[in-house]
Amino acid sequence: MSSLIDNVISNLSQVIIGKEQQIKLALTCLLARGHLLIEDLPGMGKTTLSHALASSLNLSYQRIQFTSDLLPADIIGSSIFDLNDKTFSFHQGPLFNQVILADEINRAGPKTQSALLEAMEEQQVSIDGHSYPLPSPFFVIATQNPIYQAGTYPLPESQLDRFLMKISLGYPDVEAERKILLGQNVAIEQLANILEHDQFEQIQAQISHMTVSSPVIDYILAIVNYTREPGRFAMPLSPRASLALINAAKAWAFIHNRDFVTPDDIQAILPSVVQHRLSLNSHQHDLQLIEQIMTEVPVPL
Amino acid sequence: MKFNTAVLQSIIVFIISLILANYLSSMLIALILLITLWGFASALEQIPRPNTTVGNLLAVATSFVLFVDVGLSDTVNLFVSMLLVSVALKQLIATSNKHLKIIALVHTFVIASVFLYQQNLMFSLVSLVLITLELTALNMLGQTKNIHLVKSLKLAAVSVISCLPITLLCFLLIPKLPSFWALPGPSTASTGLNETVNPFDIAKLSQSSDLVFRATFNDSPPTTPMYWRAMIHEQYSDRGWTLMEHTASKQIPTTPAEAQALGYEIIAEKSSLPWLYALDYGHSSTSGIINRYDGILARTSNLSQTIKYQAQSSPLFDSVPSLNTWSQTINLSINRLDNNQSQLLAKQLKRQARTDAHFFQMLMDYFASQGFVYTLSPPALRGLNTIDQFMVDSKQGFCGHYASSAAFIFRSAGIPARVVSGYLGGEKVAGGYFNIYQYDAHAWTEVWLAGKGWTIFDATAVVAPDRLLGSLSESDSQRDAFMNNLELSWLSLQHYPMINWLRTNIDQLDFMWTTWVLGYDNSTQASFLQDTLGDISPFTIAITVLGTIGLVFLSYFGLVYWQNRPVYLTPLAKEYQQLQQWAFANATPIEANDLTLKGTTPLKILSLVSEQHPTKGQYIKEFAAIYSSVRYQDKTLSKSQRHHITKLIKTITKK
Repeated sequence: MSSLIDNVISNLSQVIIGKEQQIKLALTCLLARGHLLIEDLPGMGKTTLSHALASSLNLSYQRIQFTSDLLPADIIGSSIFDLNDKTFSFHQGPLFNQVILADEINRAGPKTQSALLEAMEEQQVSIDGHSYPLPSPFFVIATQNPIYQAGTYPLPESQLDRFLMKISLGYPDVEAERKILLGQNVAIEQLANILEHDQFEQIQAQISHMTVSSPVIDYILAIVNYTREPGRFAMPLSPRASLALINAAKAWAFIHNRDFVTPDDIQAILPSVVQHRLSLNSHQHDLQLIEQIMTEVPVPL
Repeated sequence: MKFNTAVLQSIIVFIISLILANYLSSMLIALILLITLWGFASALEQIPRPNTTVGNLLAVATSFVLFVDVGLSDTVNLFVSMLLVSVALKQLIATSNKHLKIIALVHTFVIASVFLYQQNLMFSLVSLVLITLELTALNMLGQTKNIHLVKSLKLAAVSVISCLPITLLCFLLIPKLPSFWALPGPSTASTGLNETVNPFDIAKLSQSSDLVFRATFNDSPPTTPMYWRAMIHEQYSDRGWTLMEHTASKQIPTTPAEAQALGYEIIAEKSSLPWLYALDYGHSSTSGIINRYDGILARTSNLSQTIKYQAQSSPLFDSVPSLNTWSQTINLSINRLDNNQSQLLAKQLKRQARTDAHFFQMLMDYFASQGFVYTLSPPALRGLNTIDQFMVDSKQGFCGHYASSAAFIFRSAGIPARVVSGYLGGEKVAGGYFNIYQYDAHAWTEVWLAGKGWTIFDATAVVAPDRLLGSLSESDSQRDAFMNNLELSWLSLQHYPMINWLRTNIDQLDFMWTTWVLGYDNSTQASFLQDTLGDISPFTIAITVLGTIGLVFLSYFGLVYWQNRPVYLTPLAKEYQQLQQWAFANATPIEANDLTLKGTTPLKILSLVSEQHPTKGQYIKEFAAIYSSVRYQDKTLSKSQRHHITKLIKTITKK
């Protein structure tokens, strides 16, 4: 099973060169049934990564470009009166796909943002008193530009919490960029579909059944309680965050060919899982604080 | 309800006040109880605390009661009362934790002051409980948010219990220093013997079931009635029979011959009098005891604490071969103008009697035949000629009536006689010792018979013969009257077998406590040390003392170390730390820096170490595998794995 995962990773590495760690994290997020937020400057390959992920996992994919004039109906769909049947019939919007790339989510108005976030939480959309289930699996990979860029509506903290992870890609190193310039990277259209749909679901089930030993649970508790100590953080980690930590760590362990979680797994996924939940705006400062959490909280022996 | 330190401290003072209620001024105790109740209610936040004016007024009022009701002469009672009053008042106004801490400190003195009054087993246990409660209160003081009573109580109990072995060790081994100053014993209201015997104006003999002393006989106890002599009343006046002050030095006491003497040990409870108790002609070689020429034992001061002494007794009539003129004069003096009818009776009998011994017998017969009644509730006889009123009219009385009257009649007939008071009989307890209670108090007459010396004349023997057989509590004919007169006590319930069983067993426990703990004095300690250490020299004593103190310190530090010992709650944590320490000791500064980086996970450190020591990498990886399987995969550590781990660590840490 994990050789398949290795294949997925090497497959994606052909498209996103030199970003193996980010690829693994993104994959971890999807395997742990979470939604992914990618924050970075334009032109770093956010869209490419999400498209490549969907393509490798053989899932239906739709990209929605969020703009300030985008309305909820534009993504959910709408009921249209059929003159022949004299009834309203629901026309599904782009949201009815397995992988949604919500590109530049923070450029859309709050109303549209929250329509998307509601769909992420409930795996269904409601319109005119009817509920329409979304396909399974249902992933949202949202990208956002840094907050300081013009024309952005920042996501509220409570909605940021709905994303299991937030990652950023960063600049590629010189060698990787050289390869890109030389055109050595593969086009997304050429990517092979590695995982079948049922294989993917099997992996997800396997991950969610993974047990976690008490030292690791203790470690997670120590971390969240550390952030809850008075005066340390304006928004300490919630129980949803502890659950996110444990689920992400399981998937991370699976990717690394293990059926058990170690504190190393927690440390590996910790920055991606908690950074956007501690509600601090400066990226650099966030990383420092997470570094502090990791050094201050003792690892259970 | 908010149960906090202040509430618990109020309860403690409440209990102490109740315990001391018997000994201190009842008005003051009532006042202290009221103040404590107020403090209790304030601590529960039911009633507001008094403001400064009210507090000052209360202080003035209590001081007034204190000096009027307790007085300045009785220093011990005064100081204990002052301590109680002040701590109760302080509790009433205490608001901060600092106040409560000071109160806790003062409480330790208040609790200890209980021992000024009683040192028996019950009181000792109660004080132990009070100390535990006090520690609980202090523990609760440390808790800011949630106050856990049970947790604090447990902690306090553990501290007290862990102190007990050290206490025992100090008690057994550390020499008892003589007190640097003598504390006057608190004077307690005694219901026992009185230095003046004048029974005639008493209408109802109030009885107390307090223990007076315990007697353990070296051999078998005597079969004759046991007359425990305590005081000799030789001086007669219309107020009654009083003690002669100046007789102690007149004659030299005789030491009874060892062979015929009856030996016994007495543990005397504290009393407000200096007199001790002995059978017949008593003699004691225990230090601090005065042997008087008349066979009476005494101490120079009142019995302010329980004491133990050895005594021997020889028959009374052997003791003084002849009566000197001084004694004769004293023991014949009466007021010739009073009690004419009794004097007349004496003269009649004297005329008929051939010898003094015959007179003795005839007077006994007179008491037996003339309808005299033994009662604990006689009519009160007042005014002059009380002896006449008793002998002719009422003919109802208890020991004091008979003893006074008989002594008067003997003196009227020209036969030297005196009134002796003490105790008669005693309750034989299953443990083989006798308990003598206040209600066993008795008075009788001693008559000087030529050739026989002092002889006991006890009219009670013919009026109420069963009184001689044992304790008054065991007398059949007097039971009802006795029970009616008795204060509320265990004894009034003795006809329930279960309660009686409990009573005697608790008494035995208390006897053991008194003999072993209170009776453990310097000489007992010396013999104990001699038994355990062999010959005692100053050197061995010094070694023992230093050793004991050292042992106490060692156990303290041992306890502290034990409490702070590294606890390896999880398997392999200890082994992992061993490896870590080894790796740190064998690392270059840069490597050591990596190893000590905070927050590094164990597996990461192990992999770092295996990189740093490539030759041992294989073993370290094996260890890491087992560690990871036990810690992160919930696999149990097998016996063979444990052996393997030990071997791995040996191999890795070997040079």
